[in-house]
Amino acid sequence: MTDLRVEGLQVAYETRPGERLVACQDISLTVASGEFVTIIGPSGCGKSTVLHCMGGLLPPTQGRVLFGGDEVVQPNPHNAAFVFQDYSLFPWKNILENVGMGLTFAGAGKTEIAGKAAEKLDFVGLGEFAHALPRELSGGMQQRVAVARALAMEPRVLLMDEPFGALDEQSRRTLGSDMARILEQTQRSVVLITHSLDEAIFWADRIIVMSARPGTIIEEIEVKAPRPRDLSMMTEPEFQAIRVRLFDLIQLQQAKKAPQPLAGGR
Amino acid sequence: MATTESAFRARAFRARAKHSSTVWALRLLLLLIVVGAWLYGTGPGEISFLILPPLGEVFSAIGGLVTTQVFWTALGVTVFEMLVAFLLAAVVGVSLGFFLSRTPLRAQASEPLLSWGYMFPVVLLYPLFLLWVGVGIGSKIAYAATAAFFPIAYNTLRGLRSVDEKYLKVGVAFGASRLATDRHIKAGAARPMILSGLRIGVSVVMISVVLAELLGSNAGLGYELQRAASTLRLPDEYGIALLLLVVAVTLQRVLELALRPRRPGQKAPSRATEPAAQLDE
Amino acid sequence: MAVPSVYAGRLGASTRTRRGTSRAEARVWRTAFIVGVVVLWELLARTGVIDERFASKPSSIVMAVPPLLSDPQVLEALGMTLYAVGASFAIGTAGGMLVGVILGLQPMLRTAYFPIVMMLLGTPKSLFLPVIMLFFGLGVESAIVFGSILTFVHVTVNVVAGVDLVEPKHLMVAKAYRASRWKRFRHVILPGASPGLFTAIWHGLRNGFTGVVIAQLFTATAGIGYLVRVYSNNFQTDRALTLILMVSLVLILVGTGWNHVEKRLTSWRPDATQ
Repeated sequence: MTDLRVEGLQVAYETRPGERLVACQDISLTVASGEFVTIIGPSGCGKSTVLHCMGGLLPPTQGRVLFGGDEVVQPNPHNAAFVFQDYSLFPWKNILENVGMGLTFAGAGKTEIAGKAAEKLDFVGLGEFAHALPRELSGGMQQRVAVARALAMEPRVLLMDEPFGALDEQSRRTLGSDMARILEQTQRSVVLITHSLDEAIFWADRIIVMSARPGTIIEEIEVKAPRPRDLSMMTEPEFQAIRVRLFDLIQLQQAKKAPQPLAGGR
Repeated sequence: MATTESAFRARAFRARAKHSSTVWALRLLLLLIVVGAWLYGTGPGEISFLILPPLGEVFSAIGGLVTTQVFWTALGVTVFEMLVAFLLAAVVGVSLGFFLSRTPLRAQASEPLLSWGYMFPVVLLYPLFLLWVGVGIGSKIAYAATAAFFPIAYNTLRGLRSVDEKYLKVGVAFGASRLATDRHIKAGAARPMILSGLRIGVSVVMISVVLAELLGSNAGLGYELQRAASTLRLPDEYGIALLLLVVAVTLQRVLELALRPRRPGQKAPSRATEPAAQLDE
Repeated sequence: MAVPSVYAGRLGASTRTRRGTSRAEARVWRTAFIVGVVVLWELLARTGVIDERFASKPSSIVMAVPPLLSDPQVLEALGMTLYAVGASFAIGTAGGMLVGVILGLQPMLRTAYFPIVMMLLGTPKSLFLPVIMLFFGLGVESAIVFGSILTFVHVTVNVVAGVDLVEPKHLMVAKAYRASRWKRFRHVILPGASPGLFTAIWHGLRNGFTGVVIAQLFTATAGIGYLVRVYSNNFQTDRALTLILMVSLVLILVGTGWNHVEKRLTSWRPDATQ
């Protein structure tokens, strides 16, 4: 069964009056129930844009996004809940309140919020930090709180926008193995954006590779490794083979882009 | 590179209005409301002409004023007072800020003093300034400079104290003297904050000079305004007030442009969020 | 975190490692400075280097406190000023909060009108005083009107600055989780803007006070500003200074206290220093 279907998506916007920038085009993909899809591509390829369209945060210029059979025109966190790259916890609320924030927004009752939030916080292993403030937690822990906030909505799909992007290598590894446990237990579909080859393969049932801007899908790769997975998977020959393939694809894309000034970009 | 995307998203949430025609229409609307209220008041609203003179009379008063020598002399006095007071406050405030930032103890001991001075309602001292310095331009300059000194010194000190240690390390590593550190490292790194203090100082000086001239003086635009008010020359009173507004806004624009950080990468704190709003009449 | 600061000498930054001692030390020096100024003032006045009639002296100022506080005219002036400040604060803050939030959230209105408010912030609003006097007379009403105008301008600016502090990423969360407008305001915008709102309240109070006092200095026939004017004109500098210092002390205490409250209430901020 298909949870999420993207048909012929194109997003363009005006940077300056009269100047049009096509972020991505001709994007069609499906996410099956319980499937884990990762989207990888060079930076600036519009992969986050695609994810934002999937969650209804951004209206497509062309094409459409279907959830179940219905067109997505605005966010519905009960269907698809977001986990943002920069966690985006509310610094003025404690951890428990942050986990319950989505439910609060949805207008749930106080007892329901408290119960579900505590449950999900325990689930991500941070029950003891319920009354701490976000700034007292490490980046990795904050990201787990953001995941708990999304899970509290009991969505059918989790949309994760480079969830490990802001973390250092060490935290990524630990969070990675924690997250593997968490996400596998939830049995939900996940769409995860990343620019890390290892992450893209490690998590995925299916990898979607995007080209440089304007982003299009250039390849889909299935990863058949059994679950639950752990870090030892990275030493398997199949993993290495996919990694080489991805490296070539992305590398090719980077090279195709116009040469950039050394100190440019960010 | 993800910046284009995130910038785009930020725009989606905090769209800056770019439709300048609508903006100007809205401003025009406000102007029309004010003018309309004025016309209504002097016409059917029957507000006494001893309170609100007809708009036409005010404009002809303005036309008359700008052709008189008195007006231009008064303007000269006012602007002179403002410039001298600002220079005084800036020189003393900034150098004291540097001096106080030299050692942690000095800085810590003095910062609260400066912030208390900042909170102190200096205006209450103005009658005493009149007593001490006299009714001439001296009292305006002394009062305005005192009022502007505190925000300038305070912001300078704060700026210098928050200079990133990594820059100072470079100075130490290359054996920079104290003066060289002040000049090449601290002044550069604290520049935005110092300039922001100076911009606040500009406003405080203008506010203070006009107020002081109104409260007690024998020359300047504020004095002319006060004189027109006390002799019930209403069109002149309104006219001078409007002219003074124009002068103040122009002067503020000019000095603010002069005090804007120009180097790339040193963005001024947005005018709205700077600690500023610490201005007083 | 704590960098044992060899650079501190150059920097003037607080050395975190021995913060406790240096803080106390700073307090001692600060007190010593204030005491020094007071003693010097007293000495100069007593030896006649400065004219006591003009500059008074600390001992006379202290001596003037009891008679001043038992003078019915002074008490009445205090009460009347307090009333006017309270009214200005209430009117100006209510208006400023409302307008500030609207300007902060409506890009079009903000672009059109916020520059005007910013312009007013930096220009001498006292040039409206004579006109206000024409409309509202020499009594307390004019003081309240002028105080309200100052409060309104300052509160509006700070509220807009506060709304600017609300982070787009937090608004994004509210959108992704489909918060209603009210919930978005209540849970995201209001707390996100709270640092600006706290600052706004302080500046509202301070400028309400300043505005009222200015109006009283200008032409009023009652109130603290009026008394300071009268005392100064009559060479009663001790009384004038006593009144000024007492009122300022209260104002500074309130301001410092509010600062602490604000720090505590916004201690969630990631950059909060505690």
